[in-house]
Amino acid sequence: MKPTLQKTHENLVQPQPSDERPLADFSTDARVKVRRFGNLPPATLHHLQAYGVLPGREIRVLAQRPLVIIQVEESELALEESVAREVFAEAVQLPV
Amino acid sequence: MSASHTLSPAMPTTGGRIALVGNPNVGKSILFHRLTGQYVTVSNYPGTTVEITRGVTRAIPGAMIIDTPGIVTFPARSEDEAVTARVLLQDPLQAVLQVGDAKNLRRTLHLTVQLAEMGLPIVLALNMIDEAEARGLKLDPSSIADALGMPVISTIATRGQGMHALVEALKQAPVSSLRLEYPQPIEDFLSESEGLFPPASMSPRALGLLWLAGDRVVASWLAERLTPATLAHLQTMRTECESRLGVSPLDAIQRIREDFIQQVVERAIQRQSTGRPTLQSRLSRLTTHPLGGLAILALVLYALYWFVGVFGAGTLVGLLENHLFDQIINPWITDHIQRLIPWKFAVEMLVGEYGLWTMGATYAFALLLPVVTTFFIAFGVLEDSGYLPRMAVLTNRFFSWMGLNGQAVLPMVLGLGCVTMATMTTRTLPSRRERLLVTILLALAVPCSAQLGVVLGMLAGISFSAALIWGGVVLGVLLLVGWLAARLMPGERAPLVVELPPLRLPVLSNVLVKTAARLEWYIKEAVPLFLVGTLLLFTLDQVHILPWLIHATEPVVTDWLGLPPEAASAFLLGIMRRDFAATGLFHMQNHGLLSPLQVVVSIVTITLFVPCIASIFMIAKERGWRTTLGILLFVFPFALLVGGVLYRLLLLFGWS
Ligand SMILES: Nc1nc2c(ncn2[C@@H]2O[C@H](COP(=O)(O)OP(=O)(O)OP(=O)(O)O)[C@@H](O)[C@H]2O)c(=O)[nH]1
Ligand SMILES: [Mg+2]
Repeated sequence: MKPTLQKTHENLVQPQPSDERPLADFSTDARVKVRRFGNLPPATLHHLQAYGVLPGREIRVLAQRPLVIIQVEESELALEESVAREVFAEAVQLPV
Repeated sequence: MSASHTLSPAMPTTGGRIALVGNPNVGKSILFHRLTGQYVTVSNYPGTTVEITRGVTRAIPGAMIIDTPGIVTFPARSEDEAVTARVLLQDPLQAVLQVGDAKNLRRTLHLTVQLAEMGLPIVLALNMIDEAEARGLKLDPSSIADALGMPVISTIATRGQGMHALVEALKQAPVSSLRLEYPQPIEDFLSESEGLFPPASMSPRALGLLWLAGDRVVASWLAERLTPATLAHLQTMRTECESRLGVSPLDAIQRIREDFIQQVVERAIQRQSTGRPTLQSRLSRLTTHPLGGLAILALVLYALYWFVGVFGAGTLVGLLENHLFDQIINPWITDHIQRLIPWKFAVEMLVGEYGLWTMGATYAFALLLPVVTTFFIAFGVLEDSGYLPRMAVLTNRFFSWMGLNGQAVLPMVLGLGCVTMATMTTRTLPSRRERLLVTILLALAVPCSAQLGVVLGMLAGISFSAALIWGGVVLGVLLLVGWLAARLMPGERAPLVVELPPLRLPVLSNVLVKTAARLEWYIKEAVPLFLVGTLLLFTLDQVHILPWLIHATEPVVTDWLGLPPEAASAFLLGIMRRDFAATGLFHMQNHGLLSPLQVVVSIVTITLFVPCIASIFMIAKERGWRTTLGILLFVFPFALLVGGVLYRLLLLFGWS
């Protein structure tokens, strides 16, 4: 859990804003910050938002297979890949 | 005692309705039980409650407590959520008791803000404090209370903790003082529309916000009460507001709410969750692991087969039917009745081949009761563990072939308990198409408790390969019909987003109370039908129609399905309740009248029958009579078709 020195260096070297990726592309156990939504049916979008998947919020990716499972606050949500492809997030840089 | 008591000035009546409202699976029903003493089903998955239950509580004289289905947020997304929305819209409510999950504070407050804006007296119960603490979270209820202008009480519903404070707060619940300021176009809309809305339980401001958000429950409620001109005017105002905002009103509203919630949460959370993986979370990962998950699923199914089929239907039924009833009770009763009642007709009716006691009561109590009891216990444990929704993750792909998503697994699995109840649970599915598809599959291919138990018992009496054949055929039919139906009923397939509840250790008392409640329902509903069915067979036999019927159905029963002619009477009862038919076949098997091949063919056929009369009425209530008739006309011939084909295939492969 503790960040290694190397990692912090990496982060210092490239603080790019384009670190944004769909949830489906993170490794398991990644802590990520939601950035924006792609193209989702409005009902699905609002459902996700009600659970707290909102831009600026930190969530955790727990699994990628067979479905993407994320942790929002203390609840787990299973998402189909088609949904996880349309939620964009960036990795959270662990505090030093 | 004396009249003066009744004449003395009445206590200040607090009479009115108090609605328990909250996110799914947060403990509303268990709190309802605590408050009223009335049991409603409590299980560890979202969507347990799908309709309202009313009860009274002694703690608040005159008040009526209402348990509602969980709602994630407004606008309501599914039929069960709409039920709750309608309660808030039109029930004359004295107060709202929001039940929230303390460990998911943001999500809880997301709903609190919406409820507070409705202008009803409100109390927030922050439930599951124990689970929040176990995760290292520490909350400050008073800072939430200050920010929201409402009483906030910490509770642990499973232990009854915080109940007293909750009741006291409810007795003098205030209207929340919370008022969020929305962007100008929205505020303008709200003040202009205020006078246009008909009187409702909730404030015009809340109605206006829901109307802006495109809430369908509110829209149809308004359509019933407003002139088309006013409705059109409201529509124009919404469009105008939207174009002034430049974004959808719902998004704009949500942003303001979220900013506010963020501030409240920052002050209310005194210690963050540790986020350390617990044993529970590791086990949770395993249950949805691509390989480990399947292994666990197989283990769970095997355990169910063992407990219900081998232990319940084998050991317990063996003791009850073969020893207690066949050897002791029934000979004794038969003997006495023959001696006491001189009238042969009455003797036959009570203890003959189709006797009310020897067939009706013996089937119901010696064969079925042990089976359903073990099944309900096992099922209750599964429900309370939180395992069932995890099956949605494993089976999503399977359901996507049928144009459904993994969410459909819950009603289907609940169908294993009772298809009638599960048909009602289809309300949790978001689209009409999905509800219809699942209803059809439930009616056709999902065996339910009593019958499933009997079937497992019959299979356990043959071999595990028989169980695999039966399971394979039923699953194959499910897939095939689902696939075909999805092709015939094209429509949008909603992508899966489903909440997985925490895995919890089942509480023994809840499992037992739930089992008892289900057994009571079973005895009240099934046993009378058993007796009626037996009486029907007896009458048909007495007037010599039964032998004729058995003879007349021989081409189907004997030639097509390859079964002994007597199986016809079992199938006839199966039209009323298929578990009755299964029991009749079980009885035949126990007395050596069916070969293993015949057992497999007959139970596959009966599994595919329509479950029972009650389920037919439920399908009609939820889906209409035309659909019901269509389902009936399809299911019976189809069941016989599959049975006959299977018979020929098994013969061909020389299975026995
Ligand atoms: N640990 C803990 N578990 C609780 C508490 N309250 C409820 N539960 C559990 O939470 C689960 C859901 O309880 P229900 O009362 O069925 O919840 P509900 O809000 O009625 O759920 P729906 O009807 O599905 O919306 C059950 O497994 C309860 O045992 C609590 O305070 N602590
Ligand atoms: Mg409930």
